Amino acid sequence: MIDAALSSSGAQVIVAASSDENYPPDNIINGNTESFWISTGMFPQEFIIRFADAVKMSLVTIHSYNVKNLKIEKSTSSDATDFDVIAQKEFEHTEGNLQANDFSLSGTTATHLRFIITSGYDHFVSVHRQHLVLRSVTVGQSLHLFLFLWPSLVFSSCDWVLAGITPHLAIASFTCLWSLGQPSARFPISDITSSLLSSLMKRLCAPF
Amino acid sequence: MVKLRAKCILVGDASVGKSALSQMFRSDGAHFQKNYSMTAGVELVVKSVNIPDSADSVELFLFDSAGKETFVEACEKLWGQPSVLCLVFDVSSEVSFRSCALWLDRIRALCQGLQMPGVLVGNKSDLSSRREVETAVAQEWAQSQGLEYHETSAKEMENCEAPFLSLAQAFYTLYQDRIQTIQTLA
Repeated sequence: MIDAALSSSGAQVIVAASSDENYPPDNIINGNTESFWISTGMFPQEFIIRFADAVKMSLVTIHSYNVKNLKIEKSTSSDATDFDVIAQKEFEHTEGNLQANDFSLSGTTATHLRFIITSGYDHFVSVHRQHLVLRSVTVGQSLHLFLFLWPSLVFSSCDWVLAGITPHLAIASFTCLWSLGQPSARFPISDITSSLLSSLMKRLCAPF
Repeated sequence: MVKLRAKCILVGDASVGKSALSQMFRSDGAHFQKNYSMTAGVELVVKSVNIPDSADSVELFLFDSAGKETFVEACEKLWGQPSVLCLVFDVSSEVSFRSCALWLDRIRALCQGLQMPGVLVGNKSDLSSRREVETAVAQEWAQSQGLEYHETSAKEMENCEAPFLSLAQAFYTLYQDRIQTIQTLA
C-alpha cells in the first residue's frame, strides 16, 4: 500500500489558512503523528493538498486533535479550482487522545483535496497526519501479481480440466479487474499488461 | 513568529461606549466619536496587537455589537464561535452594570463550556461626579466571574488600549498552553 498523501510521494500542502512557523502545514504530510500543524485561531480553517498526479482514492484517514466538523472537497483541475464536497463528518471529542477518523471515498479521482475545519472543540485545532489509500495502486498491484501467476499455474499443471476452465476464468477475472480502474500512470502496468495478456492468451488457447 | 487571530465579541448595554472604545483602539486614540450613532448589528474592527517580549502578534477581530435588545438576536448569529470577550458597562449607570450578568450568560451559552478569556470594562471613568458603580464592587464581581477588570475613559483617551492588550495576551497564553498539551499527546 502506497501513501500518496506524503511529501515523499510528491504531495504538497499548497494552502493553509493559518500557520505557525514552528508547526508548518508540511507536518500533515510527513507521515508522522508526532509532528503537527496547528491552527492559530478562528474558524473556518482549511488546507489544500496537491498530489503529484491525479489519484483514485478509496480511503482517507485523518489524525487530529479538537477538530469538531470537517468537510473534504476535491478538485480534478490542475490549478486547484472547482472544488466539490465529497465528505463531511462531525468528529468525537477525545480529551487526552488524538482523533483518528476514516473517510471512505469509493474510488473518487482527484488532483487536490481541500480540508475545511468548520468548527472545533477548542480555539485551536491540530492536524497530525493525513493518510490516503489509493484504489488504483492496489488494483494495479493485484493485476500485476495475477498476470504473473496465471501462466505458471496453467502450464505447471498437466490437468487439462483445469487448463480447460482457465481461459474463461482468466478472461473473466481480467475484465473484472480492468473495469475497476486503469492502473496509475506511475506504474507502467499498461505496457506489461498488454504484452503479457497477448502472450497469455496465445498460450492459453493453444491446446484448443 | 506567529500571528494568532482572535474573534473578540464586544458587548454590553446600549450607549455605554462600546463603539467609542473600539474606535479609539482602532485609531490609536486619534478618533473620538462626539456624536452618538447607534450600532445596529455588528461593526467589525480589525487590529493587530504585538505581544511584548516576542516576535508574535494577535490580530483582534472586534465584533462591536449592538447593545439594543432588538438587534441582539441578529448579532448572536454573527458571533459564531467567539475567541475572547470584552464586556462593557458605564460606571455612571448601575443598570448597565447589572446587565453584565445577563450578557455573560448569553455569551457562555454560545461557548458550550469552551474556556474563553474575558475582560470587564467600566467605561466613562471621567464622569466621577455621576459615578454609580464603585471600582471595588465591579472588581469583585469581575473576579468572581473570571474576568479581568479595567476602567477606561474613551473621551479622555484613558486606558483604552489596556483591555484589548490584556485579551490579546490571554489568548496568546492560551495558545502556548494548548501547544504544550498537544505535544504531550503525540
